[in-house]
Amino acid sequence: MNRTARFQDTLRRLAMIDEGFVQDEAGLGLGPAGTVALDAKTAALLQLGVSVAIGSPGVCLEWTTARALAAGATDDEIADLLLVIAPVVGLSRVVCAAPDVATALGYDIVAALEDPDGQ
Amino acid sequence: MVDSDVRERPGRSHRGGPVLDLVPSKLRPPAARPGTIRRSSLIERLARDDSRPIVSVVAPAGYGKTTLLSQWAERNGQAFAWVSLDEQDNDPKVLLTYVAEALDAVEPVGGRVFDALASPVSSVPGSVVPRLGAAFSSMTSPVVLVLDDVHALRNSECRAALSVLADHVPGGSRLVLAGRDEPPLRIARLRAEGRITEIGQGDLSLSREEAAALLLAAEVALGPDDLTQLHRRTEGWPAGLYLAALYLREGGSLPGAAAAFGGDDRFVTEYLESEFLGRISRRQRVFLTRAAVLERMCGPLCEAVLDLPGSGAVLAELARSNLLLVPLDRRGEWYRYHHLFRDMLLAELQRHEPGLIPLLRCRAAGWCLQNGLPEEALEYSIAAGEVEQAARLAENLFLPAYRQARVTTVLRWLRWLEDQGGIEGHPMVAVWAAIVAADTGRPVEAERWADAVDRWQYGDAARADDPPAEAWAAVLRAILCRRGVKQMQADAGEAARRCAAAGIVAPVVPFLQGVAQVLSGDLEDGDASFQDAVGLGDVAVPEVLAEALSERSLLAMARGEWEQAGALAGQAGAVLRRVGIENALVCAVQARVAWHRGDVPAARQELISAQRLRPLLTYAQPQIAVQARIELARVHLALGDLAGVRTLMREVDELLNRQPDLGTLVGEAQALRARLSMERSPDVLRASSLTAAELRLLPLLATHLSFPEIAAELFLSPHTVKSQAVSLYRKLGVSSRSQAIAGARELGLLEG
Repeated sequence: MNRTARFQDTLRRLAMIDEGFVQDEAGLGLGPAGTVALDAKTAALLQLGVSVAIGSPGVCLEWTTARALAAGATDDEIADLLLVIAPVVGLSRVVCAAPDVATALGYDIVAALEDPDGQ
Repeated sequence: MVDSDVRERPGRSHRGGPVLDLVPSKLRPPAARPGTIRRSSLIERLARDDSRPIVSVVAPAGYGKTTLLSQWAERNGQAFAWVSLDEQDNDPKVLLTYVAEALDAVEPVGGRVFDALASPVSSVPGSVVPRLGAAFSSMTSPVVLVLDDVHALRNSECRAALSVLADHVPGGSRLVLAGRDEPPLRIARLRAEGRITEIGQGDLSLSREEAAALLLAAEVALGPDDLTQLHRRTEGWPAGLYLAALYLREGGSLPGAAAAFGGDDRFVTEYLESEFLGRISRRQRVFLTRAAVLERMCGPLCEAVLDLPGSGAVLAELARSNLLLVPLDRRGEWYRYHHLFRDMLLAELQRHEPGLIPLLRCRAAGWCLQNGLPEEALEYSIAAGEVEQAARLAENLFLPAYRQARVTTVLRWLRWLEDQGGIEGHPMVAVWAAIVAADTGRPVEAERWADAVDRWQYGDAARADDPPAEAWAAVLRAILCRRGVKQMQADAGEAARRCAAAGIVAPVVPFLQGVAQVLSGDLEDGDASFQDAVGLGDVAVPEVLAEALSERSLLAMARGEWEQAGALAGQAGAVLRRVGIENALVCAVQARVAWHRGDVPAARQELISAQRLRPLLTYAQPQIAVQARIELARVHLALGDLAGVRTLMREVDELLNRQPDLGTLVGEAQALRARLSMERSPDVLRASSLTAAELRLLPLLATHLSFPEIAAELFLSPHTVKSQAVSLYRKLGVSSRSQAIAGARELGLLEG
């Protein structure tokens, strides 16, 4: 068994967004915001929207999408979210984000575009 | 779900023994024979060096790998478990059955290993390999497990399995892999850890003294200079030296021998062509080359194939006089060629009489068929390109082979037939293929085969009637439910009529009728149909029986009769336990029953088992797939596991999107979704939020395959596999592959 150095552990767990690590070590609270006015699903969708808007990398988008699903969002709601924010964040942000969001929903866009039997 | 009136082959039962018909000669090292020299120093080295658990013996053909290992086995010492590998072992269930059986002969490996091997739907990396590995590593008597001709294994599941087995060698035991190329192990890592002994071409080349001994044993005497020249020319290649000896014994000259036997195969084959075969009798020559089409040979088979009376005597003579033939049993009945010589002789035959080869193979097929060897007949028919014959044989052999869990083997036959256009006239083959694909979680293939069946059934109005095929085609349509519940009911009814008319007894028919009735809201009739299915108990395939009992249990629950439901669920579980298999629907029902009686740990256990099995329930069986997931979701909800409910309901939505016409299930799904939307709290990402795709990935992570190799196995892009893996790690709360495996094992999502 390889013993990994501490810095390697840190970087790897950040790169894959190890939730426990991020909360404990990076001090980023991932728990519910404690707000009453917005329910958990809305909150999660908002977080995804903002993630797209600031141009987050693929892993972040996949992670936020998975959390939205866990909060009860449906595939359609998540896809509609991209449409809804497009006028504000611009086309390129949304286009950039679509493949990673799709991956988190179990849809491989590249494969679909390549598929001779695809729709 | 497959059933028929074909008798199962005799053999040991699942519990505690293999189901396959094993070829005994594969499990014995070939007997040492006069004329081979002892490789004493190598054997001493192997016997002494036992701190290293893995031994790799790699050299081209004709270097005496098998001879070395069989001599080592004969030396008094440890127990040896031997498997000679061949083409048929490219089916992981076959390969691992032989390995299990070989180990079992030294020390019992336990029934669980054979249970996993006997099930057509069990996962090789997920179930079989972990159980076999655990059994291996807990063996108390030291054993040397030898796998000879490893280069014959091309199937990646087989190769991956060996790599994992290498991690489970218990202290004092060894794993020996011998072949013509590098074994499928992580060689670099094993070297770095000092866990492997490697024997290669250099080690196996004969020294000058050994060369002299070999020539002497072949009754050839050479002077020292001549010996030196020959030894140098052949570079110590044992096969080359042996052929040279034969040549010299037949009256050839030394210069000729030295010239012909460079280590270059090309010269050797030219030698064979021009010299050796020219010097032996015509009878022997015809015999040797033509018999090369045979995988293994006996006197009567040779007579039939070569049309040469007295072949038995020729065979015995050849076996006695040289080493070209390897005896396969102690009675002197069956032989095979030494692999190298077979390759050469076949090439010779290809050069001189290519048109004869298919004919010889056809004759071989015919003889095998008449002598109770239908599978060998099938393999010869395939080799000969005899599509019709192969298709007819496959129709009969498909089901027994499937019941022996040899899914890879039957799919190989089917794909060959499909390539050759052999399906059109043999719809039963396509029907079985579709049912097998549906049962093993391969929906795209299932639909493809179902389309082939449709084309046969409705394409040509003038086609011949085939009542059994038409009956099973109706069963298939009912299983796939491609046009919704009403059509399923019609198809099941048609299946019932046709099966009755054709004298086929199949519990799956009343079972499917029951499902259609229940989905149409007709619960009483449905229950009666399920009772009919259960009533056909002796004929039943265990899975159908257990599913019918589970459906009855669900109906009892709906009536509020929980005691009855519990009893039925218990019976379903007992049926499966008797044969050591699992089923997602049965797990779901048992989970509900366990929850109801307040046994939370048991309910959780069933949910975990169901998670492992979920990837098998695809849109190829939409009714069962949706139903099982709804029942599982109910238990997850009761346990407060919203993540699990949400994951399952997403899959239900996807299934209903593809097939919206599933009767009462639609309403049930809607009710559950409504109930779910009342839950305002989110749930964190956890193990029960693993999607079916991630669950399919998990067993492969337990192998040593890289992500690109896994992607190739699953027909996905490497990027997708990487994303799924990261998501999987995250949901298990870990950050590495080995931690993910350990975590999954702890949860019960992976065995081992």
